[in-house]
Formats: sequence, structure tokens, C-alpha cells
Amino acid sequence: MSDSLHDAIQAEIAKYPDRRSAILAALRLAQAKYRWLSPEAFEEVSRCIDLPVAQCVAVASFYDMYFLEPVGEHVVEVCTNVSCALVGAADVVAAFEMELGCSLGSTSADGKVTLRPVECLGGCGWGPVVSIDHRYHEHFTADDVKPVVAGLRTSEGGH
Amino acid sequence: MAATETNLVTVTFDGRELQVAPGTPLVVAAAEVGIEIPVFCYEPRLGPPIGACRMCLVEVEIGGRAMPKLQAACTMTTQDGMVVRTAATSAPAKEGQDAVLEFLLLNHPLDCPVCDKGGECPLQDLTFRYGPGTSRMTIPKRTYEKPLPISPSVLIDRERCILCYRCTRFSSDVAEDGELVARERGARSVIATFEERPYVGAFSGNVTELCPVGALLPTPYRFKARPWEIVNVPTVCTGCAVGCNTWVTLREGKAERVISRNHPEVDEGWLCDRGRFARHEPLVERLAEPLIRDSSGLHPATWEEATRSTAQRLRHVSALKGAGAVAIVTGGNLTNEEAYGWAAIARSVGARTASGPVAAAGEWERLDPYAARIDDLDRSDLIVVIGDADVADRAGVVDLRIRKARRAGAHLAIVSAGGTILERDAGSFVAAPAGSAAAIVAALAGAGAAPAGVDLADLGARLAVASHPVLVVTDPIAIALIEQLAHTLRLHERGGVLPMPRGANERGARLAGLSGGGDAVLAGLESGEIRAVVLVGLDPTAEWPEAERWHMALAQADHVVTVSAFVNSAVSWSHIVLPQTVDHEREGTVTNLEGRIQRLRPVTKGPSGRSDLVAIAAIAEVLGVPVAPTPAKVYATLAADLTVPLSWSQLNGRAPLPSRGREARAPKKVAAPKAPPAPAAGRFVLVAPRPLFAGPAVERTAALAHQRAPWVMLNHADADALGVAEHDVISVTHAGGTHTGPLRISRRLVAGAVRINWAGAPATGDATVVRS
Ligand code: SF4
Ligand code: SF4
Ligand code: FES
Ligand code: FES
Repeated sequence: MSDSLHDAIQAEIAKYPDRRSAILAALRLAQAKYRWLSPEAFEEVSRCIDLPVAQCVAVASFYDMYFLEPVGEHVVEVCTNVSCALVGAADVVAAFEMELGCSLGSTSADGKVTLRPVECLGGCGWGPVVSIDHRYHEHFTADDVKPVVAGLRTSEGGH
Repeated sequence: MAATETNLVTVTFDGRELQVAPGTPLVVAAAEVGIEIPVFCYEPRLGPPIGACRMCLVEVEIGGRAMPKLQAACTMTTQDGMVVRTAATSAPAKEGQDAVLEFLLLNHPLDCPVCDKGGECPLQDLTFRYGPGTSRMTIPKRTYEKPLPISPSVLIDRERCILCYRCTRFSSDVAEDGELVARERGARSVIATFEERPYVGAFSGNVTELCPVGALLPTPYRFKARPWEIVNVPTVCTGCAVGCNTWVTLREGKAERVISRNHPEVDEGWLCDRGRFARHEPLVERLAEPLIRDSSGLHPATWEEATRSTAQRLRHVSALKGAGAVAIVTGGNLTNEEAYGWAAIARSVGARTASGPVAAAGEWERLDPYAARIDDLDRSDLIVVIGDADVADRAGVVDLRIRKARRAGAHLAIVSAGGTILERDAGSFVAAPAGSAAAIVAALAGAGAAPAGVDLADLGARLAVASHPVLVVTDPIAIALIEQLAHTLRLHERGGVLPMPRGANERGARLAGLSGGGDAVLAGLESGEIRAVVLVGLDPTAEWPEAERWHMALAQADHVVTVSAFVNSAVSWSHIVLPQTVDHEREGTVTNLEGRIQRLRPVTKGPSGRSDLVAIAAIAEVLGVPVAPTPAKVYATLAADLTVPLSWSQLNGRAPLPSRGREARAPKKVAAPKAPPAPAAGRFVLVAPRPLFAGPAVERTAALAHQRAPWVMLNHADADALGVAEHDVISVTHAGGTHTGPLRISRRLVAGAVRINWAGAPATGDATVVRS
């Protein structure tokens, strides 16, 4: 058991009247530590927050920002919701798939970049929106893909 | 409802006016004027409504103004002047309802002809009654692999699921195990467990009754029957002393299923998985005919021979050795009428009797002036649970009632060695050394010091001021101690004590005349004073403490008569074996932990074809004591002695619990209990209360194998010191044997203790713990 995670989660729990309320933060801390939420990570979170492990999974699988599968060093998330779809998100996805050689929802063969779809990122007026290692990029077009991927391939993991 | 005439509001449903309390859900109010608003997700036993399915849409007008959209009649509550139009009178409501049904059926396979729920399915019924006759759905439906086991006792068909969330609400808000959840989101949502591991909650089977479609079904009932070829017989579960009301589904002479027959004062429509799934099958393992031993072993005999021989031996021993040379012992696995019959026999041969392992821990009637009812929990503001055993292990669904009371605001205080399922959300938890329940009770009663390091000040202060405290002691300690505490706390004036007998009908057996404890009988057998013993529905070598001593003692007895449904180890010491019937085969009454007398009805015939009472009456007749062979007649005799005599017919339906006198008498003085000895260095204190999932029927039920799967629990610091981690396979060796299973780590189990779900003969003392 890694006690730093345990302690960090206790600190989050202390902020709320009910430990259940700290679940999102607890999952975020575990993901920050392990990069993705493996079954073992869920069990650890469950022990730290003293909630059933299935409920931790239920919450994590509801939200897009938790990774339930291993991810590459970088994570590229393309908003495919309505507003972004109307202004060309599909082209952006296709360009990423071409450039990375992997399909949406998977990781490039060199393990560098994971390409995932996400629901609305809240930047609907500036679509298509792409989140790269949790930083938003607005008005993203297929042309932006090549240089971005080249940069990601050469840099260390960043999310 | 606290509403008085003056604060009622007027609401109109489809033109019918109604005076009703404000804040009543519209679905409930409508029912009062005979209007059905169809629902799927609405189920008040699951907590506040969540409006998930939208089946209950209605048009609502308040103060002459129409609400702009259709409203869910389960979440919307009554206000004065509300005018509600259901689909019966409102075109928009009808259109909404049709659309909702169409939506719910979008991905539903409509495979009713091969679905076990067909014929008793709310989705089928409501679609038939309210739905559009045809579907516009032409594109392929979403499919899933089906059926998948949610556990060995419950199957899920995800295609049929309408995502009403009844099952997950049960898991998270009623049983509070949180094991069954909705994973993913939107159209991809599925009902699932963590990593598809089995749902092992003690109450998991309730989801099969809650599910309004054929998505969650009981595995043992799969493809067993269609609703038009079954009869549901009303009876009572005798898995523990709660006595949940049940229907047993009979098809072609076989009991195929157990479902709830909601008695709000007892079970609120819940059953535990033991009551729902445990079966005394296969019948081939049942004892089907009487056996008598001769020099070459046990041989089949006629009933006439076996009952006559039993009577003669008992009479012979008592004539030769005098009163007290015969003992009749039960664990509570019999009806009141059977107990009455055995008690009559006992009197005629001067026999000693026992209805539980330890005399001092079975004097339940001492608590009568302070006795709480199960539904006192609903009214309580403080629930105190003392003991290492879990409430669920002692009294199944009472666990759910305690949780409900806690959610409603009662303070739940637990004093235990920790590691129980009830403690996680308790308002306060006091860790106490394993086995110290008696010392805790004595200390709270002011009759002794609390065990070292246990601070009871907070609990004492709460007990002093609570207006309706309910006390539950889960460990088998001297009842006189509990009586002393109840008296000190004046629980005859407020709240009460909920008795936790081990045997399903231990209380009834005592009242009918089989009082006393196994400890005295054991000593009598060992000293040679007792020469003949009758074991009724009990194998003390498997179910009672001191198993080894019982083995030796029974081997020395001149005559051992065993009355049992199955071959057990006591049979090997027996000179006469009489087949016993089991729960679904019995007629008579049983007395639950509250003292409520409820009626058992025979659903099937046992393999021997003979009722126990007929056999008892035959023995009694030889001895010259009259015992009627019919339960109703024996009950009439028994009832005459009750403070409030209830007639046989009053026990039909939902049996009442008449209120009893609460005059407290001065309690018996008892010596303060000794603290359990500390274990030797390197050894652990064993915490092994008998689990709910134990006993011959449970052992024979495949659908419960996962519930019995052994586990070992250690405190996290002890686990670290031993260098073992969660799921590591651990072996625990104690006086009664070795128990091996995966490790569970607890932060609340006291250091130096090891908790196991040992289903063998009760074990105490210390143990060694190693990784295997
Ligand atoms: S499985 Fe049944 S109870 Fe559970 S959400 Fe689906 S339909 Fe409702
Ligand atoms: S709680 Fe007891 S009486 Fe109720 S179903 Fe379970 S075993 Fe039977
Ligand atoms: S739809 Fe893409 S950011 Fe909102
Ligand atoms: S019953 Fe009202 S929304 Fe389900």
C-alpha cells in the first residue's frame, strides 16, 4: 500500500462532510500516480476512501477524464460532440489516425501517443477543440496535426 | 401519516377529487382514488424516488396553470389545487407514455416466450396494458452476451435491462454493499460488478424480485416453471430467528423458488440469500426411513418399530436410573408444536432438556419486559450493537433494518473487535478486544470495569439521553447480564433489547417446555448421569461449542436417538435415527426473535412422507402422554398459556405481535465476566462467529457456494508485519481445524485478532496465521 496516496486521499476527504464526495479527487490522484486506473488502482482507492470498489468504477467509467485502459506518454483527446463535429472534428480525427497509425481509442505503436474521443470540452464556440495532455487547443484543423504529432513523438511524457 | 383533517390538500386525478396530505407522491395519491399510474423505477423501499424510467408521466395543472411539460408522477408530490391528468384522460400524457414505452423497448429483445419473467413481468404487463401495439423499430437492436452470471445465484440478461436502477439502488442504498453498479454512461450503461466478480452480498437475491423486467433472474429457477403452472404457498423462513414471510413456489410437487411475502413489521419484503436460495436438496441425501442399530450397524426399520423402540428405551432408562437420566436436546430447529410434544415426552420420563448450547445464554424470557420489536428500530434514535458477530450472521435482514434506521437519522454505535459488514457507516465505532462483549455489557451496566483501552464514556452518555435506544448483543453472552444492562438503562420504559437467538425457533422451544442448555447435558453425559439422549434437528458435534467433548460424550451414551433430515456425524453414534422434515415440509408455528408466532405451511412432503408431529405423538402414546398428531390441536393447547392467546386462524396472513407487559423485575445478580486471556506471543485471537451461510442446507446448495467461500481477515498493521497483502492465501490453524482463504485487510479489526468465516463447529481461543 502506498501511503502517500492514502494520505493525499485523506486530505481530500477532510474537505467534505461525507467521504463519498471526495471520490472524483481520489480517482484523479490515483490516475496521476499510476497514469491510468487499473483494477489494482481501483482497489487501492476503494481501501483509501472506504467505499465499495464497484462504486469507484461506476463513477470513473461515467466520466471521460479517467483512463480505464493504459495510455501512452501523451494523450490527445478530440472533442467529437455536436458543435465540434459540425466544424470538422471528424477530419481532425482522421488526420490524427493517419499520422499516428492508430485508430481513435488506441495508442500509437511506439507507445508515445494515445488518441481518444471525448465529449464536449466546453469550448464549443471555438471548435474543433483538441486537448493535448490536458491543455486545450482551439480551432484545431487537420493541418495542425502533423507538427503536433511530430512534437509529441520527440518529447517526454507530459500529462 | 401525521396529517390532520385541516392540513390536507385537494387534488384532482382524472376528474376525481381527493383530500390528501401535502407532499404525497402523485402515484400514491392517484392509487387512493383507484387510478393506476404505471411505474417501473418507483419503489419506496429503495429510498426517495429518482424518476429514472419516466413511465409515470402525467399532465399537471397547479392553480389553473398547466406545467409546461409532462411531469413524473413518482417524484412530483401533491400540492393544493393540483389537477392531474393521466394517460387515461390526457392526450399529451398518453403520447408521452407511449413514447417512453417505445423508448424503453428500443433495445429490449421482446423475448418473453423464453423469458422466466414472462407472465409475472411488470414490463410485459404494462406494455400490454398501456403500450402501443406495434413497434416502429426496424434497425437491429443492441445485443450483449447473455445471460451472464452476476453471481452463482443471479443471472443478468443485459439486453432486457431498462436501466431503471432499482437493483443498483438496492445495492448502494439498502444493503449498502455497493457491489452492483451501473458502469459507463448513456446507451452504453450496463449493470455490472467490479471486474465481473460475483456479487457476494448476503442480500443479493432481492434484486431478482426488484427488477421489473427479466434482466436479473435467480439462477436456480432458470427455465424451471411458467407462472400459470405454479402455486405460491405462503409460509415462513426458518433459516434464522427473524422468520421472514415467504411464498414458496410449488410446481409438480417440487419447491422451486422462495420469494418474499412482505410482512412490514418483520422483513419489509426482503429476504437474505440463505432464506431465498438454501435448499434441502438433493433429496437423495435425505434420510428417508427410520433406522435402528443392531450389532452389525444401522438398519431400516418401520416407523412403528422406531417410535416404539425410542419410547421404550427412554422409559427403560428413566425407570432404571431415575429422573435426569434422559436428555432431549434441540438447537431450535423444530416447530412449537413439535417442541411441545417433546417437552411432554420429557416430562413423562423426567428428562432434562436443552434448546441451545449454553443455559445462561438462552434465557431469553428474562428480556421480555425489555424486549424490542424489529420495527422498534424504525423509531429508534440510538442503536447499539455489541459483539463480534455481525447482525446479519445472527438475524439476516435485521441488518437492513438497522441500516434503514441509521439513514433515517438514528445514531448507530458499534462495539466490536471490528471487521463486521455493519460497521462501515456506523455513527460511532468502539474497537474492543475480541470476545469482550460480556465485559462491555457489564461495564455499561456499571457492574464491572471496561476492558483495558476501551472508552465507553461517549456511548454511556448517548445511552443516558436517547429517547428510544435499541440494544442488540450479537454474541452469546449470559442473558442475565443483558437483563442487568436493560434494567439499568430502564429499557422497559424506552426502546428495548432485540434478542438474537441462534436457533430459528430457540425461543419457541423454550416456551413450549424445552428450556435448559447443552452445557448441563454435556456435563451429565460425561459424568454418566445421563444415559440416553435425543438430538432433535441438531448435530452438537458440528453446530455447538465443545464439539470434541460432544463426540466423546455421545459415544459413551447407552442410547442416542437422532432426529435429523440428513445423515450427520451424530448419526454415527446413534442407536435410533428418525427422519426429520425441513422448513417447506412442515406444518405448525414458530416463534421468532421478537416472540412473534408465525405459521409454517407444508409445501411438499418430506422423503419419509411422515410429519414429525405424528412420530412424536406415536412416541408419546407409548409413554401414555397424550399429544395430538395435528398442529392446530397442539397449538390450541399451547396458545391457552400465552399472555395474549392468538387463535390458529389469527396466524394466517401477516401474524401480529401483541404487546406484552413491561413490568421489570429486579434482575438476577451476576458476577462480572472474566476478560478473555491474551494470546501467546506470535499467535492471534480467533474471531469466528458462526456465519449466516452455514449448516446442512447451505452446504448442499450450489447457488450459495460463493457465499461460503472461506476468507481470512487481518488488521492492516498485522498484515504488514507478516508481509502479506490483500488476496494472498492465508492459513489459520486453531483448535477446531485449519481454515484457508484469501486475505481481507481491515483497518478496524483490532490488532492481534484474526477473523474467519469458519462454518465448522464454533471455535474460540487462539490461532496461528501463515501464508500458505
Ligand atoms: S437490471 Fe433490472 S433492476 Fe437493474 S436497472 Fe436493469 S431493469 Fe432495472
Ligand atoms: S433473514 Fe433469516 S428468516 Fe429471513 S430469509 Fe434470511 S434466514 Fe430466512
Ligand atoms: S462540442 Fe466540442 S467543445 Fe463543446
Ligand atoms: S416511476 Fe416515475 S420515473 Fe420511473
